[in-house]
Amino acid sequence: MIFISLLILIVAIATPSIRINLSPNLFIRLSAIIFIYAGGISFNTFYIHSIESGVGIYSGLYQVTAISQLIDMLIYLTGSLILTAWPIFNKNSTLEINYETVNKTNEDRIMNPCTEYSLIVMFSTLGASLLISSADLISLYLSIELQSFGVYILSTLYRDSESATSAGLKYFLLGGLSSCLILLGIALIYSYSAITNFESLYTLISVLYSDFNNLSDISTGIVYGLLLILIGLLFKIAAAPLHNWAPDVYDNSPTIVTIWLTIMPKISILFLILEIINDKIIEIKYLFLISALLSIILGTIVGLSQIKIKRLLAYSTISHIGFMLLALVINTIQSTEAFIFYIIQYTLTNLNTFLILLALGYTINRKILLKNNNLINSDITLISQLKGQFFNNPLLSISLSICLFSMAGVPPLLGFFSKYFVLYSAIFSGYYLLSIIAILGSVISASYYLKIIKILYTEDTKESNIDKVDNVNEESVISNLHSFLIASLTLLILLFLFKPTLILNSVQLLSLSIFNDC
Amino acid sequence: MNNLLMLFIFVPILSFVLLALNVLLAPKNSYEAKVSPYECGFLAIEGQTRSTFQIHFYIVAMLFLVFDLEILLLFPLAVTLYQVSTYGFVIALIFFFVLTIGFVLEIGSGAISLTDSHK
Repeated sequence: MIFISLLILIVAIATPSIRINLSPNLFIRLSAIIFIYAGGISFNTFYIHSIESGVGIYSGLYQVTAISQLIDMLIYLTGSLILTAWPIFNKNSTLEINYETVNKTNEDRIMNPCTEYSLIVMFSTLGASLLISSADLISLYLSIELQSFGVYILSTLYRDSESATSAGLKYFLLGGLSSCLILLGIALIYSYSAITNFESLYTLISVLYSDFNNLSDISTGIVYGLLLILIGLLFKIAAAPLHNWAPDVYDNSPTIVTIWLTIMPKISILFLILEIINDKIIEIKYLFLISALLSIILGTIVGLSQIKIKRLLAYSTISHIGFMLLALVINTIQSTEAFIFYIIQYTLTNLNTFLILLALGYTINRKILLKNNNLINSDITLISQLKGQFFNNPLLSISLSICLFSMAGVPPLLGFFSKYFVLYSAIFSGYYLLSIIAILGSVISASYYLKIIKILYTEDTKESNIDKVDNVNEESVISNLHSFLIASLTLLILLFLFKPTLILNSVQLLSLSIFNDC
Repeated sequence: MNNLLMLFIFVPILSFVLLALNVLLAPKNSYEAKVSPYECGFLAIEGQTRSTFQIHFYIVAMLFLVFDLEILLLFPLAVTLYQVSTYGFVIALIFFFVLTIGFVLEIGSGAISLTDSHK
């Protein structure tokens, strides 16, 4: 579905006769509708009875199961929601006119960053949804590359801005390195066992490990290959100690791109890791335990000294990844349930936070936004720019503080339940040290969330900033759907307590299906 | 214990030891001519070693690479077309169709035109 619509969109963008008549807003809305339709098609596959045990397609390269379809739906839904965050380009704004007055002859050859964004986003989503249904090492690598290339190009979308291109270059080089590590791991596994299919690999590992005293050479090769693949994957989701690229890249890209970077690769790669790891190989457990420990510690402590808001959110992402890796290591039904629930909560909360940041950026920097065509100038970079926003935009500030409280893990919001779930399954299985460090980490991270909230609510006394308050009569740059989405996500976080079975039921069924048919 | 484990442990240790020996024990007398990069006698100033070139050449080379590999992937089909008769032909047709759409995008964005290309 995504593939066919992608082809049609490319033809539509490329032929000049079609492109000039359509506004770039249309492409974004079209892509959002395509995503929702693809999510609906994924839901339709639940009617097939054999989907619980998995259906292999394309001669065994891909496998469609209930989990992959549900996460597909999550990815498509999130993708379509992120696309609503673009500001409105209407006739009064000069965003289109700049191109036409510059170069009359080249007018039919220039693409707005808007249309390129929607195109690249579809490529990346295609890669992500192929990744979670991959059942072979080759299709694993292909899907990771497809997803990652889209995201690399996205981060350099605004080519005139130096910080954006530096972020994109950094991301591309380091992402290429991690793909090389994955490839080395695949080559090692293949050279020791001559199989690339996941099913055959699982069978081989369970046969080899049925007798712990006689581990042959084959198992060493396979274990190191798997370790390298997992190290490469951990690199891509910015888990410590391989996390240093993440704050730089997230900070320097425009915020519209950062939403995509923070949420989408993580969902797909974490579900892939869930499918790959198993309980018997001890080295993998050690790798994830060390990584979870370092992520929680680094994500909380280094985040204390940040003055830019996106770097701070990047460090909070790292600490969330630490929690998720902890939930992955404990391979019980409860912990898998906690893991899936944590991913859903993390997606929703992060999406809401970035949408609110975008909305605040649009309202604070309205004049700059309408004059230039660069969305990167309308971003909020420093935390101090948020000072006193409660008095200008009360509802947005309240929503932001609710999201930040949820990330800190304050009951009765959504974030508290996810952390509670993970910690409960950790203590139940005996991982005491990690639980204590996770709790302490939550407390430390709560302090930098509260710092943002404190700055939001303190009044701004500088004379120069008071002039920026516009009169309310001018039309708003935030679209209706954007503000509706912020409102509904905030209410979802706030009122989760009253009907938790909405998310919890599906999560529990998913986790049970993994363990019964694995 | 095991060949692979020895390799994984020994190679990083060896490389670190060699680098550390160099850093610690080698004498350092560096003057300007030693430290600057060597380019057959030309000095590393803007005009002498590098001149501006149009990036258009690079773009053309990249695109040529992609379409050359497309033709390369046609070779197996050319050899085994009798065995895979209609099904294989249709698959190859779909493959070419997808790449043609990529070509349409390339023409439309003006990457091939030799004069006046903006992006």
